[in-house]
Amino acid sequence: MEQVLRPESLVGEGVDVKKLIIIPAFNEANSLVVLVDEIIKKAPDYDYVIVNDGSYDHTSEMCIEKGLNFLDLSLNLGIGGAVQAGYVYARHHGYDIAVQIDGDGQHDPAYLDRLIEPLVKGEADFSLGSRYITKEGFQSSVLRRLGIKWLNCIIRLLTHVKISDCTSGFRAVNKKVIALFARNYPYDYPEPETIVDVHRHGFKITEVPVVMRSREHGTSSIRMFKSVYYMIKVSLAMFVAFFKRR
Amino acid sequence: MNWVTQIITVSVVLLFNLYILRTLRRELIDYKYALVWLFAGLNMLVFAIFPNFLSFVASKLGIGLPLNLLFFLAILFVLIICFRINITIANLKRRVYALTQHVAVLENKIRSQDPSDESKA
Repeated sequence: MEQVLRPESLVGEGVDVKKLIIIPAFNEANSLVVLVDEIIKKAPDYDYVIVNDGSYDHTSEMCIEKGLNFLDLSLNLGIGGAVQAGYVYARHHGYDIAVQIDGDGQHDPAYLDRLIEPLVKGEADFSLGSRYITKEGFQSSVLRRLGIKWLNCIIRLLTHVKISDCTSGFRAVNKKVIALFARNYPYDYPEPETIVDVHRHGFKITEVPVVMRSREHGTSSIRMFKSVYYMIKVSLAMFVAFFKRR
Repeated sequence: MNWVTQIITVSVVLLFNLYILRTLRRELIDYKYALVWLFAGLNMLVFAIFPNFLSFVASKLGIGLPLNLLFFLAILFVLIICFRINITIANLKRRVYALTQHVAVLENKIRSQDPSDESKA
């Protein structure tokens, strides 16, 4: 049953590596323009796709007007469904690497190359951008950090992989994980659960230090009164994910 | 049970069964689910026509009050149905999500192949 999967190195293919940035967006048209400009400036060799998750602001119109590449979801699917749409797109167009970036400007595209480096070298299948390795930049509130620590512990208990920022939405995956995510991705609060999922399928996970900015627009998807539900749901989901069949 | 009560119960249960059959005939429900409801409906009919049967089964199972057996069976049935519906809903949700995503990807493809469309919006 134990399957030894070695991540494939993409070195040598060099320029042929097709890289996609997935940007889930819900009612944040204004920060999207800034983000896409930044991507074009700092990471010109990446393609991007905005996933408009049924926004009711002018996201869709703005994307058409500015000629931005975007997926227009006709229903609001939530963060999990929106991100998965990006992976479906990535698989459909045969991308080698897909990177997730939040639409609210928390993640700096300058770190993209560092994030995908382990994938390009074939050292990992899944690369996570963590703000808690160098502990620079935006660190979030004490309570949130505590919650993240708890979830990190569960992940370590289940997978023996040491993760410092399991809720990070700044992550990169290779072709095999793109196929997995396009097929199967959790709907709500997917970040920590996907780590256990990816590990269960025998893929290699690594973490890369990044610096995050505080949100320029919008709010976190996890608000105060929802946080208790969040912790219970995510903890349970990870245990269940661990015991799921392949 | 007095005969007035029995007439009422039997007619209500009969109506229930007829309603299921009518729904089925109009193709408003799948056989998969209709069969479960018909099974429940016919059981109710048996108990309504032969109330002593319920008392008999209850006493055999060591249940003092026959009505408790009825409640137990009814609640069990409803629980199972509810749970099955939850499963069905989750399944439908998965399909709707997959459809929405694929429509979006295809729509994106159409848009990128037909640049004249962009200026129109």
